[in-house]
Amino acid sequence: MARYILQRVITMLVVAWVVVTLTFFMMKALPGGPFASEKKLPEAILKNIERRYKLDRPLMEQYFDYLKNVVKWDLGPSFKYEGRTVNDVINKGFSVSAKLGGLSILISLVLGVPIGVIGAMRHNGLLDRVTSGLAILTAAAPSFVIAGLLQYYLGFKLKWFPPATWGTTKHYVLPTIALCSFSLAWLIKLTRSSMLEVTNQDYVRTARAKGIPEFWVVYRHMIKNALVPVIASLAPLTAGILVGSFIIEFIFAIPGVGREFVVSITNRDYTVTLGMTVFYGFLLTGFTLVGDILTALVDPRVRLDKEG
Amino acid sequence: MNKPLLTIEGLETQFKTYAGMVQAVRNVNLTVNEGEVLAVVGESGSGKSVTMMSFMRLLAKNAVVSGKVEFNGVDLLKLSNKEMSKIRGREISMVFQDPMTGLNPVLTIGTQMREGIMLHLGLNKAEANKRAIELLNKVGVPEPARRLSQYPHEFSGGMRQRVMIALGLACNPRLIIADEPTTALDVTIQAQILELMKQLKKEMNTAIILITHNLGVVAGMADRVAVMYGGRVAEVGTVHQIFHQPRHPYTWALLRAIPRLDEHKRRLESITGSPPNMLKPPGGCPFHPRCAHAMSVCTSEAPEMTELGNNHRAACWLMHPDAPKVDFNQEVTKA
Repeated sequence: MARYILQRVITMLVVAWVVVTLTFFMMKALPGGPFASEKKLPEAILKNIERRYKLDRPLMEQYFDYLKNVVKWDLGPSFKYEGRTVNDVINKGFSVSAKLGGLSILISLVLGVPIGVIGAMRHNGLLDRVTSGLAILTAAAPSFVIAGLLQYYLGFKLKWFPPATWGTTKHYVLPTIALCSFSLAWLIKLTRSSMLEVTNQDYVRTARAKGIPEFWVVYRHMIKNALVPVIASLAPLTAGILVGSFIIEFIFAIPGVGREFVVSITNRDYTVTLGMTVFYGFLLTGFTLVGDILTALVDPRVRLDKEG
Repeated sequence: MNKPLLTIEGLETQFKTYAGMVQAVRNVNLTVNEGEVLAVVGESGSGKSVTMMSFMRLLAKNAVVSGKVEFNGVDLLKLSNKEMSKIRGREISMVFQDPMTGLNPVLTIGTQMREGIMLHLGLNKAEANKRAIELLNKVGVPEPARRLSQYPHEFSGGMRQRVMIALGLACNPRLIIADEPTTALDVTIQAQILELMKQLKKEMNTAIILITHNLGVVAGMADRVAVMYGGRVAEVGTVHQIFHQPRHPYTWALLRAIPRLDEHKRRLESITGSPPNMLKPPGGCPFHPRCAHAMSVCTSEAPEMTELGNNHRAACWLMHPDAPKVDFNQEVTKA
């Protein structure tokens, strides 16, 4: 197990390095820049600015400098806003985004897995039909459509919840629903089909033949097996929530990292865009690592070392 | 020895499917005595496994089972689910045919062995562990204590089948249903496993229902044999009766299909045609479309079981006093 984790960690570090390198050079290859505005700056001033941000140095030197700073988790200053560093932007925005995203993942897991299990147990029953119908519907509707409908009906018409912005607990409700709808629907469907597949496995019949009460057959023999694909989908699920949060934060005017990311791109605030991409890359590789370790915990066949 | 332990009377099992009712088991009557090995043979789809799964109540929800199956004086088909689960694994256990998929891949062998033992025998974890080690020792799994903490993927096929057998023996059941316990194994392991089962049966006086299509296994293990075809019992008798005085044309055909070492001049016989479609089984005797001796009555009316003496019974119109006499010795050996 320890060897397995070590191996995963090393792979993740390599992936993270590739992400940093690729994004760095891609950003450098882009034409234009934060200081290229409609009014052309005098040559001398441009030189001064470039010297200040060390943009006049050779490319490789800039790259190694950046790499060194990333290791120290210093993502550099913002080009657009004096006195703000990329770390500031991330720290400020992420406390909001993490709450929204974390809540969405939590709700998806806490509701999605049990609903999927019950749906499979009562296959073609009322609950199963209703939830799978809803799941297909929400999985098919883009989150911005759901967001818009929620804002209009629950926010604007019924005035139950604030239709936008951030602040009180009530502000959480609509964006969280909009953000988790897809992943919730997806998890319900995944858990359900995974459970249905497990139901017909020989080892479930073996368990029943041992005379074990049905509850234990489901709980001990079926759910653990059915969860293997669910846990494996944790990383892509998180990725979905992260990307979804860009749109949701924008629609609901929530001051999270997702919105800062989009704003930084329109501002051509390169260090911010670069830093955010690296940050998201790290976040995602981190979740993949967690997912891999959890999979190995549940499914012994994944562990590579001899002694389980 | 001759006290009946399990009596199956008029067992019928049908499956509801979109295509219609599949008549998997039709009016099956069988008896297993205490401490005896009954072999059930027949082609795939003849209803062997479904018969067993029917009274073990392990079939999917679309199965409709009727009839009477008395075990130790209790009708299994009338028990509540809770009462039934006290018999499953405790009084009657099953050993399934595919050891590669029959064990749960995410639970240790120990967990899988302990749960039945703890439940049925009321032992605590440490005692159940001791019992599990004892059982693995008995079925010839080396280093049982260490093996308990391992997962099924760390076992070879033969070792897994031994674990399956150990699971079947766990609570000293009075009847073990072994559904092709050696089919998935290579021949040397097969012999070891059969030897093991024979020895265990002798030690514990457990009755065994052995489902197989290997007649060699039958000859080596069984006391009595039931030949099934098309969801019905075609012939039932002692091993001697079935191998030396077979009376049903299907039994003849099966026996002709065994390769023999003492004869090298003929091609191996196969039974022409294919097993009946149980969605729409042929009228009359299910074997008549493939039977060399079929008469007109065979196509319209199913033959009753005829008692031939000494509990040897066959369901065939040739047993009727008016039917032509066919010499079974010739039928089995003819080229």
